Amino acid sequence: MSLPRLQIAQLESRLGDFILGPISFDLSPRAWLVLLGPSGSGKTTLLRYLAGVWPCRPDAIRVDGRPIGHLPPEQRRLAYVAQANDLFPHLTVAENIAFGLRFMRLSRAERTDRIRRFLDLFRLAHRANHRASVLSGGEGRRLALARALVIEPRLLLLDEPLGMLDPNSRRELHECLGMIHDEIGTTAIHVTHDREEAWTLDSLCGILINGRLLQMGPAETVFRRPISRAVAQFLGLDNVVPALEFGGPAGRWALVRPEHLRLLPPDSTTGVPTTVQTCRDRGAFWEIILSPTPGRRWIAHVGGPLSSAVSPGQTVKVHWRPEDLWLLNDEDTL
Amino acid sequence: MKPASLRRWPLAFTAIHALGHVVLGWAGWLNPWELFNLGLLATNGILALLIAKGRVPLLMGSAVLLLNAAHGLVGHRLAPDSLTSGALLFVSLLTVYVAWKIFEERPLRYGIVFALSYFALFVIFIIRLSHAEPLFLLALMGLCATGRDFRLLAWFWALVLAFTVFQPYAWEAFLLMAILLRALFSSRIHPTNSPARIGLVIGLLALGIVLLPVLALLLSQSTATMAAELEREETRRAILLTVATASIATLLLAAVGIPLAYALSRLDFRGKTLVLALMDIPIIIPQSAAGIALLSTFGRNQPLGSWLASRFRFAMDGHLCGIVLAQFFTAFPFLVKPALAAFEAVPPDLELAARHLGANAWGAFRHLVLPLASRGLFLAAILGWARAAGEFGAVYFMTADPPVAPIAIFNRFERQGLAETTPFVATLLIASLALFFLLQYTARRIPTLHERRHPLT
Repeated sequence: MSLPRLQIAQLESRLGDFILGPISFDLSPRAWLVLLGPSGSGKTTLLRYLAGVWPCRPDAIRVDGRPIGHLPPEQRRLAYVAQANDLFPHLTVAENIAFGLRFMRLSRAERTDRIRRFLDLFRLAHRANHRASVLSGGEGRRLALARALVIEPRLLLLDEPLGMLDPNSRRELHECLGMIHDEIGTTAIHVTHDREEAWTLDSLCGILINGRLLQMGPAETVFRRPISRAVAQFLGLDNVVPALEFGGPAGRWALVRPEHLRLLPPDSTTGVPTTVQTCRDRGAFWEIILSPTPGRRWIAHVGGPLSSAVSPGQTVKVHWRPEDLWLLNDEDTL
Repeated sequence: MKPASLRRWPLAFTAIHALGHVVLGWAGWLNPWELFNLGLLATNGILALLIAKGRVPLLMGSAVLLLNAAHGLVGHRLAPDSLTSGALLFVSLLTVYVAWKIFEERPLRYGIVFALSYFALFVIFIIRLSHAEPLFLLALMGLCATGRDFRLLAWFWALVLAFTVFQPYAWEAFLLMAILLRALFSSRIHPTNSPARIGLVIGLLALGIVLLPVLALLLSQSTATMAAELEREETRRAILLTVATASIATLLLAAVGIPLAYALSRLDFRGKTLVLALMDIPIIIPQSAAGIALLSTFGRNQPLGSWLASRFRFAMDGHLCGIVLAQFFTAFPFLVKPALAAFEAVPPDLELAARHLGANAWGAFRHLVLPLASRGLFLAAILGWARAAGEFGAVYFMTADPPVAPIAIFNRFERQGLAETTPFVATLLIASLALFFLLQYTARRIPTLHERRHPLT
């Protein structure tokens, strides 16, 4: 097992009232970490620490075992793509890509070769000699990525890479990120507030709320087994209710995923009786909103054709397996 | 057109005329018969309104026509210098007709503008240019013809003002006003943003005051006199000396001021506001005071000056170094402040992006900040140079001989008077204007941060 490429150990800082961290995690080579968090949760601050905008303890950040926390940005070889792209408006697309290469020892042939390769990879060849200031939103973002990756960084830091784009450019850029993941194979930290993006690449998912990393793991795990109520609520999961409602221990919160709730006829021997409130066809499944007692709301996802017994106003019984009841921590600790 | 505004119009028409006549009467230009005039104007306004509404009361219409005729006859009798009876009658009827036409199809503001224009024309021709009756009638017809379009009206007024009020400088004035009008009409000001439009008009007029003397002086000289002026040894030496000293001063200033401006744009430190404020001193103190201050510090009989004199065997005052020092002093804020603005226009985030791409702080400055700020820096250097070259007061006290161009002008004026000095000044003006345009043009070719997005090609 090789050394993790990026190690973050007890990174912490205080900026005015905002406290970031302490944050610790490791990233293995080629990993793609999507850091999710609401606005103001410290995502950009963390990225800026990693990128070297502000220095920190040397061993708070290690790359390949070497402490880099104290180095200025140009010595870290980490590519940082800011939300605003920060393209150089006075240079052409090709010159923007070439900018970082001039500080590396490359032969002329190697340099032009690399520029050409990245123009092609990011489908900017037809724009090579246009000023960066005339590019569309999606093209500008692609150029920012190409410019950052052409210097072969050890780590790619993306700040909301799909933000502020129209839906078509988003999809295009999404393919572009997949290409970076598959073909260039850079380790990346991708910061966003959009939950959908956690599923875009087979990625790790981290939840950053109020400057603290509450949970980190495969996206699948984080969404199915959120560690605490804050994480579950930030992820917008359904059926996050006091555990007592589902027969769990008092004083704790719990989660039963909607697809784990099974609907049974009212005369069956097991299950909790509920009243059907709404049935919505979601295409792949039906979304049934149930009310066990007035004022409370459960959501069940049911596949296949809906039985006629399930319609608004009817009573059905709801059943779940005890192992599907997932208890949440109240304390937000990792 | 709405009836409400129809009712307001004759009031406005009458009020404007009445006000004008009262002012004239108060100034002693017209006699007490103004009352009659006012009544006539009121009835004219009402008549125009009624005609516009499609109701022409026969009795009242003929009464008003009679009144107008009387105005013609009596007006001539009362003020024989102004207009003949026929002309007065013509004027009355024409204004009624145009007022009616405006009522019929134009918004109220056209009526107000027409009334004001008519009155201004009346004042110009009757008060300023007596005995210009045919011209007045001609101009009135022109006014009526152009009154339906604000742009045409503006050009008409530019022409009238140029050839009446600015008579000796008619062409210069017309040229200036034409430039102003072009700028105004092609401006992209939002049509409903009236404060901005008014501000632009006033500002452009003020700019006209700046340009008028320059243009007048230039157009008064023939190329032959200027060529002869350039032949003179005295002129050549003054110009050469000015160019040389101002260039040296600017180079020194750039070497110190550009790093300072960059530092001020990127660093925040205690006392930064104080430093920024202190830089204004050369702007604020009078030039002659600056000259005296410099002399009392660097003069050969002062401690610092005598130390320099003994140590390096030259004195600042009376020496070329004195000229450069005085120019450096006065041009300092003129170079540093625009340079600071140029650096501040380069977002620090771009610099940071360059750092992430592997440029160290010097590399980011050289490859990114400097190219992006280059246009602003260039303009700052021009401003500094121009200030240095134009400095009179401070230089005069440090080193009056050999004279730089501003001092040479002063010397010539002292010895030979205005007429002898103008060819010299015109030559200098042409040279500096040529330089000005050249520099503006080259500065435009250096890229800036805020290039306009052009459509995809």
